[in-house]
Amino acid sequence: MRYVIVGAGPAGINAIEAIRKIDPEGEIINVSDEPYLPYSKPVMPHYIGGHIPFEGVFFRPKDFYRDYEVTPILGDGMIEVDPDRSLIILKSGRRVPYDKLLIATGGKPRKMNVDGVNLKGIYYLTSLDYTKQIVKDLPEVKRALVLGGGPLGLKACLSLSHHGIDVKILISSAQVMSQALDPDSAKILEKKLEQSAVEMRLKTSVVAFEGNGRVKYAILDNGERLETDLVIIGKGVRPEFPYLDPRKIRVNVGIIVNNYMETSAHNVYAAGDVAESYDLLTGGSNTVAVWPRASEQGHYAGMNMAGFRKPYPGAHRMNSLDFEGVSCIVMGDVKTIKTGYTVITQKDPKRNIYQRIILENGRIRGAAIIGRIVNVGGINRFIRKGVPVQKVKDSLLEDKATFIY
Amino acid sequence: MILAEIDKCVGCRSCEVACAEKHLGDVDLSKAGEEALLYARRMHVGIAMGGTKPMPIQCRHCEDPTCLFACITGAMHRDPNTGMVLVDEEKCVGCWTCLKMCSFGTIMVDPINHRVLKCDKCYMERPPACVEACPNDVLIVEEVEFVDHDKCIGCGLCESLCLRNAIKLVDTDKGKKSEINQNLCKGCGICASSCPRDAIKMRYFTDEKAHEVIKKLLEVA
Repeated sequence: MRYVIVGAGPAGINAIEAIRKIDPEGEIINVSDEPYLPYSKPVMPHYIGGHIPFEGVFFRPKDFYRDYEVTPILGDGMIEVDPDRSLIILKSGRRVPYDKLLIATGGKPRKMNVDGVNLKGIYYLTSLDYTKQIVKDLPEVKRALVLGGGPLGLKACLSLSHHGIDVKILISSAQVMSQALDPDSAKILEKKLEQSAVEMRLKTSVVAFEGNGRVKYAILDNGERLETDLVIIGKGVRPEFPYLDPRKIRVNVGIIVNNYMETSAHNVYAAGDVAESYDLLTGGSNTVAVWPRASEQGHYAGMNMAGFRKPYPGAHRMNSLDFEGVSCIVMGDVKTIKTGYTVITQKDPKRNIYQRIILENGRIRGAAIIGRIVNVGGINRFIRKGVPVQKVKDSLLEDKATFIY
Repeated sequence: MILAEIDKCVGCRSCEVACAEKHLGDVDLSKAGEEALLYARRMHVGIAMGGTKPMPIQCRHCEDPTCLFACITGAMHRDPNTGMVLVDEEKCVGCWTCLKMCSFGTIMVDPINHRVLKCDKCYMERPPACVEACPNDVLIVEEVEFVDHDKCIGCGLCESLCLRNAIKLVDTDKGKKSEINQNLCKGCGICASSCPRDAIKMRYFTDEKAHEVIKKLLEVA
């Protein structure tokens, strides 16, 4: 049995580990378009900020491929999937036949389509190549711009600021974390940003970049010209799958999979940021690009590929970050409020504490816990399992509360 | 496994203090003072929601740990020697993702060093600090299985069946006999049920214990 896993991120690696638990004999090949051992993209801001050494970006030991008896093909990405002949074609022209294929190629950064975006010094903060380049540039950088108010953008601007760089963060929306947080919760983080050395501009977009080979200015939508030595763009990721023929494998925003992580093509599976699967909260399908979900999906894909048929229960969105000592943990959906929903709020603005839980029919739909870390594991579980909490809703945010269920 | 007889717990938190003291070596007291004790602990006493029932909560070292899925740096890992799920405190960047994945809320925060802390059952030391400190005998480190060397004939069937390499034949002065590595044993009972001489005993999950649990459940229902 030959398993071909395309992608060396959390989905691909967890799939490999799951397969090996069940099938110690099968041949496993891991294809990656990047020439690196499995590394963690969410950790890039921590590396830029100097919190971890270069070795810290790798989330598995150096001997991972040897220990799990996997043949790695690194730096040679997949350019075509041929489900009729059960093989994939790599960039080098190499053909790799498969018995079971897992597509876990992840998300690609949302690109900005403005003049000058291809100038040197403008980077998307996801890949290790870009990050290494940023770190190389840093000694010469006095001013920097970060575009995007999501977790990656927020982490990035803090990391740069720690190097003494004059950083401005430009956010198109009216708040930070516009995808994950409601406006009130976002205000706590915004307040923290204002207190820091980073200059935050909301409702601000860049319409063009100018420079001679390397970027020198960013032109804003209000006409202002900002001088800059470095630009980091963190506007989220989206699945891209140019290697697929949509007539052969069903796609939407992502590659569509069922509860067993199977695509519409025989013996082809998908997992992680590239896959579109069941969302527990909306009841529909979507892509949610967060690490734990990618890991879990990879795990379930691996199990099913190796013959252990187990349905993936689905996931909801979640995010966590630490913002200059203020922790921010968001689970589920805290933005949508419909009639009939109950909103529980607890706040202490002086201590930067803001907590908000949304209930629908006595079940938690979403929670934003900012400023103190309490009961997040239990709350997340209640969201996942749809546990009715009507009886205990008043003690959900208690200090010593524990969830015995 | 560290088990708790929660009926006896009064919430004194001696276990927490003992855990913190034991692991204090990592904490810079000058930065946090008295509160340092709390920031060094790896387990905690929780109160059942909406009620007053306290109980000690340690990491269960799950078979399918959701915290492992959450870790973005690979700091969370399964220790091959003991089968425990541990965090490499140097590698952890304090992203807090694992905290919200643990259904039991067992992962603790160290805000001083900005990382997470986990129960490590005091590694190889027995008894663990929390078990020793409890004044009410709430916490038990129960050897899940043991082998009766008088009955064991050294056939090796148990060793071949064990999924965790927890039981092996060793040389003793009575000949080759099976020995259990308590750190790796999870008490699944495969060896006990297969032993042709009935030499392996489950200490905790006996039939009597199972009856007890069922009785309790029926009382509450």
